[in-house]
Amino acid sequence: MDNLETAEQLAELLETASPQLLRIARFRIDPRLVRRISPEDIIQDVFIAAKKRLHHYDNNRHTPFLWLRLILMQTLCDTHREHLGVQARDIRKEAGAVGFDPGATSATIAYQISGGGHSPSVSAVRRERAQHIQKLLEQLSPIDQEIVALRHYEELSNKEVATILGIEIKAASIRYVRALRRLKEIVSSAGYFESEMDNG
Amino acid sequence: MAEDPDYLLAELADGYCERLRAGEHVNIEDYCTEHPQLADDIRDLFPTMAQLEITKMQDELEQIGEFVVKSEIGRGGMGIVYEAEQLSLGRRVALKIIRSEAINESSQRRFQREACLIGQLEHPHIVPIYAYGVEDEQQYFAMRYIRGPSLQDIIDEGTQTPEDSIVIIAQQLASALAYAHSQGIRHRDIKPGNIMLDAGPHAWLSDFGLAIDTHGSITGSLAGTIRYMAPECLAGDDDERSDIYALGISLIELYTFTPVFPQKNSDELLDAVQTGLSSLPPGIPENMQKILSKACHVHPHKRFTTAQAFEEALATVKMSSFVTVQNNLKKTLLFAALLLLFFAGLLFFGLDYYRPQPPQHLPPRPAIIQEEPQFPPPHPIHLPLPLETHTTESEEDWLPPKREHLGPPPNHLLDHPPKRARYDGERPRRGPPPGKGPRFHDRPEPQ
Repeated sequence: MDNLETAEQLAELLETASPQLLRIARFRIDPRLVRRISPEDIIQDVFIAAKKRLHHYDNNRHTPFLWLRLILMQTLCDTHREHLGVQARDIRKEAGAVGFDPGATSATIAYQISGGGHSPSVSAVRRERAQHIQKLLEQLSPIDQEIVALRHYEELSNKEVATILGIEIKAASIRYVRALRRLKEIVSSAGYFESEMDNG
Repeated sequence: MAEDPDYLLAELADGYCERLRAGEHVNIEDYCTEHPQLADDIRDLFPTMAQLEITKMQDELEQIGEFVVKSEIGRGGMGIVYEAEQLSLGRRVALKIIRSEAINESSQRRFQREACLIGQLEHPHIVPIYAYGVEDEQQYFAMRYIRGPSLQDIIDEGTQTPEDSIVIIAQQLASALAYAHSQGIRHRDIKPGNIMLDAGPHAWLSDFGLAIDTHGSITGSLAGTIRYMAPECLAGDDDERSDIYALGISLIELYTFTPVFPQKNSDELLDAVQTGLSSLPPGIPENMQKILSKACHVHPHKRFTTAQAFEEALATVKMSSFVTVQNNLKKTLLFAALLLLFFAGLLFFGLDYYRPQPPQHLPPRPAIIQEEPQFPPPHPIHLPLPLETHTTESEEDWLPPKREHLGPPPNHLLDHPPKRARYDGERPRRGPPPGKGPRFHDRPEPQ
């Protein structure tokens, strides 16, 4: 969908985008918040906000999906502030690519890997593994971490990442490939993935 | 910009990850062939991407209901199957859920219907369902866990399956189909990946995700995997015989290890499926050729009319091959019997022949009895020193340890001469030379 003008178009967009938005919400939400607010609730808020702000939508600035993601990030930010009393993660800054919260991405990735907010208990093995991966990811620069998160945990395309970071698509490609190369080096020197490597 | 390798890689990564997320088996080498100038980078980086995706997907879920998820077994377009443990019963199950991306009203309806359909089926070759539930709007159901391999694994690995086993597997699956059809249920997605094997061989038909009961309506007219789809399915005109066809194609591949329709291009594949098999590929044993070509006939009316007829036809094959097995068994038994007879004869005559020559062989027994005094030597030889000096130790060896405990309260024994007398009498019987008998009298003296 290229444009977003009518409520019908918005409804259609919400329908197709909701699984990915939900994934992003689950990924970005602070672990401390999960018990109080479900990611589904946040997506509901996003939908309501999107309906209210539909007339602000600017086709030249965002694709419809990225516009929804932006609203999601703002909603998450507000929710975090409201419930935790602090701006847990500077999502707005993140979205504008001005700077990254160094701890944020790797912590969320590790949290996601450890089973997200779904499980009542996180097994010791998994916790250990999450910590291990977190350590590996921490060795990446914050920018690299964020790019890996956007590409693989938020499942955004190369182009979308470029838009979010406000950089040229070519620059986004270079950053992504560079981040992957570093991750690969770290991972293979740690010998972590080797045993379960799957090319298929 | 298009020539920029990083840009190309990043763009390729989009498609690659998307396919991984859709549950496709993606071969990295395909990308290498397509983009030879990037082959090294692709081989270098794509596995890392795959690993990120796999790690992420595997860890999205840990426990649902009373099922603790262990690892992912497989995923399809709509569902993911995990190996899980049912906490209450402590048993291993296969847990199926809808992929979070695929959750919508229609998928949820279909998922529930799948669970209900399997719930109605009770057959030794259909994977049974154990439980169904919903948690956090996430539906799931647990099935019997079958270790596998799937027929697809066997085909991929090129594992030779004994011809008799294939016939047995075919018969089991045909009977499962016949049963499902008799319950008014069509599977509609029979393919090697949906057939599991246990030792036995024991085949299991699984994944009724696309199944319908014949009175129901079909959502999404084109269901199933094109490679195993009967030509009439492409026109949305399938029936029970389409299941027979799909089973036939799957069985052929179990013999040949290659797809019957290997076309990668979807248009070519559709054409090939529609044209149908002109002849069976080589490698099918003679006794199965007729049956399989009938099962996979391009025209449904020339196939077996029912799965039961298919099963019955397979049963005749099984019988004939069973007869050869029996014949072989008879031959083996006969041979074994002859061999046994031969050896028995050899033993008998051999003994008879050898008896007079070395008389030691047979006579020794009487010799032992007669010349018993000659045998004991081993005993004295084992004793390291003359008995006189080491009596205590040697006696400890001879008698149970109790005897020593009996020693300490010897006053007891001494006070009662009759007991002593009994000991004296017993001694020689236990073995030590008769001369050692009175030692008991000696021992208390130091006190």
